[in-house]
Amino acid sequence: MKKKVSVSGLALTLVLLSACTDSEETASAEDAGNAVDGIETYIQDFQTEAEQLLNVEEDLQLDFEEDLANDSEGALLEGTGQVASNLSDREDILQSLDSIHSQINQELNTIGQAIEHVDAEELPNDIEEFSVGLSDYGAELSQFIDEYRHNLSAQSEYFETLSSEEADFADITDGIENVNDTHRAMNANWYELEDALINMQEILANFEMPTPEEEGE
Amino acid sequence: MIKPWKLSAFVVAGFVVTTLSITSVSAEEEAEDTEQDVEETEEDSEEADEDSDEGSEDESEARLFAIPDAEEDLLTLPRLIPDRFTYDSGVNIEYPEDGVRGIFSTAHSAGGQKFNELVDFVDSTDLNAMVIDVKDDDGFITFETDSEDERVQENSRDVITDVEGMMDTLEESQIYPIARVVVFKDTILGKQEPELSFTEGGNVWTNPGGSAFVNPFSEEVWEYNVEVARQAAEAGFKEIQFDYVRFPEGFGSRDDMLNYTEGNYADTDMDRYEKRIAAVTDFVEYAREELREYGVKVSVDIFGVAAMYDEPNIGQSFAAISENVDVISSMPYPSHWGEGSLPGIRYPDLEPYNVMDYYSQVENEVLEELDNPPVSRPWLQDFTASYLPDGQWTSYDAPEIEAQIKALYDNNIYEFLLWNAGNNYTPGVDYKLGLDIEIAGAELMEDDEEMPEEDSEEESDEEDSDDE
Repeated sequence: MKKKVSVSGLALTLVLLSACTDSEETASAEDAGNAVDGIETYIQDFQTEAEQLLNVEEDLQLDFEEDLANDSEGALLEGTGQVASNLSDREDILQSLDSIHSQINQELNTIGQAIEHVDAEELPNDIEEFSVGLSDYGAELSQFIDEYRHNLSAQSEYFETLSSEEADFADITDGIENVNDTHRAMNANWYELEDALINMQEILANFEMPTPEEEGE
Repeated sequence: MIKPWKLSAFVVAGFVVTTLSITSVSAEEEAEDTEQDVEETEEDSEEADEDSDEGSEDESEARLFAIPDAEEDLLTLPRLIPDRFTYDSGVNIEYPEDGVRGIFSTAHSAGGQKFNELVDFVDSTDLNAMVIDVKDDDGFITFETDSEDERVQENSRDVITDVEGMMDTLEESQIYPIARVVVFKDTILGKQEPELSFTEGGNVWTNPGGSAFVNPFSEEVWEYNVEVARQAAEAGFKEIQFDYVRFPEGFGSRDDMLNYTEGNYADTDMDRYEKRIAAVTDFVEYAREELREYGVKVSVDIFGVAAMYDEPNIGQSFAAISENVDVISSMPYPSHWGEGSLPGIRYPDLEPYNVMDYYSQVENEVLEELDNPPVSRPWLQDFTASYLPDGQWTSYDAPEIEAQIKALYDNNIYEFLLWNAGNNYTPGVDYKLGLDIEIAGAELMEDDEEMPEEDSEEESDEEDSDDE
């Protein structure tokens, strides 16, 4: 069943990838090979950045405690404390993930162009399936980034509330509850991201792009 | 409200706790695997079979991220909450920078002419705090409050007639006010509502001193006492000190004869001792959490001997209670230890330094084991125990009080409270012993007294009351 869905999505994917492309632009088989290598690197980069996201997220409690301990210095009131840095760091990581995701798409685009313009004999038979598979899972990376940004936004709003002079004890406790609810909801997204990355790595591992020398022989 | 797993933290051996944790995680992982399999089955039964064949072993190896448990909180309420978020009583008295050194005042003293005398006494010395009865040993609440709780209204007496004026005076002198709330020793409530107490033959049981206790298993009792504490916080007290946080002394030998409910603890797997410790500890934890929005510190008075041995008969575990308070105030009064009950000390009342030195070392060892140890602030004996047999007691004057203080300082304990039931404190005591306590430790007095040798494991006689 899954395979049918993937194949039927192939045409749509290729159309979408082509739509993003300068109509004059073309790609060679070598470009496609480089793109495959690039995707492999970017997926690894994505994983590394996502790990960093988890690490920084884990520090939030300690950062929160430190800011409350230094409240008289305006850590929360002026947004100059550890929590602000933590939120900012994670926003930076999200931007980095955005950028990596875009680069993966660009490489897929290059592969799409190669499929369109290069003689089919110069490319592996399964390159279309390879491209569509990566593209499908790539969409999940994008979805993860969106969901995490929403999660981060909820946390930012909470700490913004605490920066008010009017904030009281209930604001602290109610806000913690909301943040935790949103955080817990992210749990499934993390597993989906993980599955997507594992599947992309598997697709890459099972795909072989012939080198020019091999072609020459 | 009951958290049996928590009890295991201080009753059951560590390896059992670890085992339970591992079991719990494994169960979650198992559930997760099952969930995934179900989804895949719905999608494609053939693929689901394949996934299943691959098994969860491979799956755990393939994980890329250390994803937190689905139930794990990202944030918890930090211990330290700045004042701007908490209740503002309008009374501005800071926690003494160099530590609390206080005296006890009954409500009658605080509400009468004696109050100014006590304030002058504190002002003229290096003392800086006063513990005042807000709920006394009978169970009376000692000033009229705005509480809507009917029990609180009914049991309030106008002993401290001008709480605001009292707080103004304390604020002017920056005397740190601590509200003493006697919790489970409560003759008034016990007799009003026997179902909250312990009964025997249809009557409320009382101890030889005629005092009744209310039931630590009763969450109604918890709520009532916390409401009293709230009223104290609203009046301007900066700390709530719970006393008699325990079952009646000797409870272990008569619990089978008394009628009482175990409340929510009845149907747990805990034995009777574990239940008592859990109830008392849970009350303290509950009270501390409920009072957090008031920004007050929470302290508990506890038997000195509890630092040496858990007191399961009365439900006191020094370590478990200490984990849940800001300040722990033990009562290791020299006069309260039995003859020869401390190693190398025959008549404890005659050796105030040695008793307090030995006790401090024991307590420090217990507190060092805790993740979040409270401040130690023991009660010191500022009374003469002339009721002891001749030759076993001595008059407690400035040297004896200073000896106890010196022992604390020698063990890096810089806070203390003085107990005198009549509120008549010994004049001429050097409470700082001429030391700059803020940098104390290295400069403390030379160790001119030897530690008594721990040559026996004799059990001490318990102190027979939570105060004198």
